[in-house]
Amino acid sequence: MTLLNETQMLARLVDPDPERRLIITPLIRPEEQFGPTSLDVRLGTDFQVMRRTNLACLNLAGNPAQLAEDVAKSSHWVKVKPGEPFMLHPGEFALASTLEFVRIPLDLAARLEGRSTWGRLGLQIHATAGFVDPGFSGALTFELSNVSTMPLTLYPGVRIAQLCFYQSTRTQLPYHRKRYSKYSGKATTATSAFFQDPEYSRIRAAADSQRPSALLVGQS
Amino acid sequence: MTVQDSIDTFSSQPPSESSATMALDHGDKEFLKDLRKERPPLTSKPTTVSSRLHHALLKFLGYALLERWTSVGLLLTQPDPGSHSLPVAITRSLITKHRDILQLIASRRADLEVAFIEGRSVIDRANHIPEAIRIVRQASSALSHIEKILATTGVVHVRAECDFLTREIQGLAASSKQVSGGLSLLHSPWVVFEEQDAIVPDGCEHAAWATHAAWPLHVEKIPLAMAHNPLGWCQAVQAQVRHASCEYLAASPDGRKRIQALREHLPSEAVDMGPEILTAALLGVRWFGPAWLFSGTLHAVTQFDIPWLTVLEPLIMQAVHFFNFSDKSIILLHESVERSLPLWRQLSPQPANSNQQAGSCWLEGANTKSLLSDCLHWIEAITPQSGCLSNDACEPFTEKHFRRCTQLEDQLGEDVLISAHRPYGPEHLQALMGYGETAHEGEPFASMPLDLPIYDLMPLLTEEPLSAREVITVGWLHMLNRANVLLYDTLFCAPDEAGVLEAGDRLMQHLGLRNQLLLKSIETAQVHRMLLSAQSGPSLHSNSLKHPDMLEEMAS
Repeated sequence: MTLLNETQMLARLVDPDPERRLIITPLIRPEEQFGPTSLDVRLGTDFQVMRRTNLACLNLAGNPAQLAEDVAKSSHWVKVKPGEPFMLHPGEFALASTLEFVRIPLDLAARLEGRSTWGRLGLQIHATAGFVDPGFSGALTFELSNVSTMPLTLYPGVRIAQLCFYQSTRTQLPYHRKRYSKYSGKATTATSAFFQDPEYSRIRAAADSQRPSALLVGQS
Repeated sequence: MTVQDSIDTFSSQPPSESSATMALDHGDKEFLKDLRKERPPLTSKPTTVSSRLHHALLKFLGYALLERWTSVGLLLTQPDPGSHSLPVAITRSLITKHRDILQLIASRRADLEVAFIEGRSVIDRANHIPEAIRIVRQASSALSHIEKILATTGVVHVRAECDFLTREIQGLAASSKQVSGGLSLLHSPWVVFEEQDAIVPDGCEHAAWATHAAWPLHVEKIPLAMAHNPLGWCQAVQAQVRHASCEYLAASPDGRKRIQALREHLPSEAVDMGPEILTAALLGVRWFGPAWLFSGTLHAVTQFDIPWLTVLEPLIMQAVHFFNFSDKSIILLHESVERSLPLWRQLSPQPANSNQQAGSCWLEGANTKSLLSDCLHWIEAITPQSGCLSNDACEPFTEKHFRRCTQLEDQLGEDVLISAHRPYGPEHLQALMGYGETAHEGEPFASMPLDLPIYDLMPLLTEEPLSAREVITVGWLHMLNRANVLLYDTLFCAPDEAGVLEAGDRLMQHLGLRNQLLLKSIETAQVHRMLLSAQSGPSLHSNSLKHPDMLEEMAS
């Protein structure tokens, strides 16, 4: 795997072959966004914050439709207009997305990383998921958390993260064709669709099969 | 001819190869007249592109139904994150009703095929076409019922993205103050979709021209589903445009005279039409471009609005030509409107007018044309040239904007955001970066010079934001050019009714993504515009402040 430098990234953005072309749009000020081996991306306008509810927990093995409803119930969507701030308080967690729409060609992979400017203020832009598969298309989701002791004001359009690109051989299993891919093509902040993971259906089935015997044990 | 043959024939002979489009490509202004001379009688089989034109409108109608069905479905299954969801029991019952509508359509596929796909003649097989229309109306009425329940039981929010469109109009209004005798929309600064009752003045729920004493407000009611679909937004600002038209006509005796003179040359169906309606039609196309034509035609077809189809459509079409927004899909739609007029007259619940002049025949007279041209020049002169948000957002919709829209249509077709366009094509950079014939052969960077002046190349990558109306126009072009294929895929490719339901789900996914992309594009373009328009303050990164020693010097 080779890490692309600025010239290689630039070449990929204008590649005449549509299958090899890297799409990042809009590129508002490339001279501000390009680094030696990275390209800065901006914060979008959609935020999802978790709110306090009367739900005891999100039962991962529960009914998927009910789970989707519980997830919606326990989260709150905030749309911020241009020029207005989103306040991220200390210890708070929120989902957001890039302003840019990104499409990764089949022979590139990318990593989403924070910018040190924001890191120094205590902002983390992802908790664990910074890898972007070849073939991904859509807005990238940030898992924002403020680990400092001061609230942070986040404005749509600020350069909040950076993307690094790695060249690999062309994959036969791009993200959009991957079975069970859940976030392909989403143009806005995508909430977790964990309940669509196939293992939960197996866990549910196993839990269902154990339930009668548990009842019997309880009765005895 | 089988259904598949019919589709294949239509697809294999794209209108771009027709004489109409060839003429269009060469900028021949008389091509419409020539096309009309060539066209065969309506009773002929649809063997040529021109004889099939009138069916395009029927397909447009069929597709419009599917689009509405999809929009309602998306409201039910993927509620807007900002809105409160309905009680589960109501939602489930509405979802069932919603699927029943597609099942109804699927069960009558044979009748719909005759009208929408085989394109049987309107005149000799009249029994088939009204049957198709009847099914469409029945389905539409059921959808309206669901929309009504949704509107009364749930809370509907004005989409934030729509604010951007209205802000563009407000920008236009603000800038118009600088033009002597210009337009003013300041009395109607807000567009409100069906909203909570509190902000609608008492007794004005159904008034498109309602004005609140304390808070000037125009209320335009549009179907709920269309409020979440940017393609429906032109309808939402019609009241604004009409209001502007009224204001200007009241203040300009010259404009009133011009419009009155034009009106005297229109068919009798225009007699009841106020001069402000005619001015509004011309203003609308000047501000919004062809999206105004598409949106208005769709509304007129679904509502059987004969005066609109007879008088306003040809007028707007001629204005579209005047402003040079020509495109094959526009020509197809216009021709199909003209050729379907007898059908719409027959189906209209209103009594038929004695004037049977079809379509734009009345516009062909030299006198009428010069009057229209005079009015359009007048519109051109009064439309403000600068805006408060940005020059580009508020300047009149011109051929330049339309060209961008046609270029971006493919990008939307590939499910990519269309918030901005790059003034320099990739070929400029490709040439500079040494892309040659060997570029594809495994070593794309082999021929690239190592001492590339990277910062000199970067401005070529910079993108410029689109305005909301450009994004909406791209959406319309995309929809119009793919309507037939999507209609066919959804209704007629499936082997049975169950298959149609599955195809309906796929269509919902597809159009949901398209709407999401359009909304995100409008929003992103607004952020983009803000970042470009804001004046940069003093930067600590400027060279003069970079070195600590220099800071110390300054301090001393």
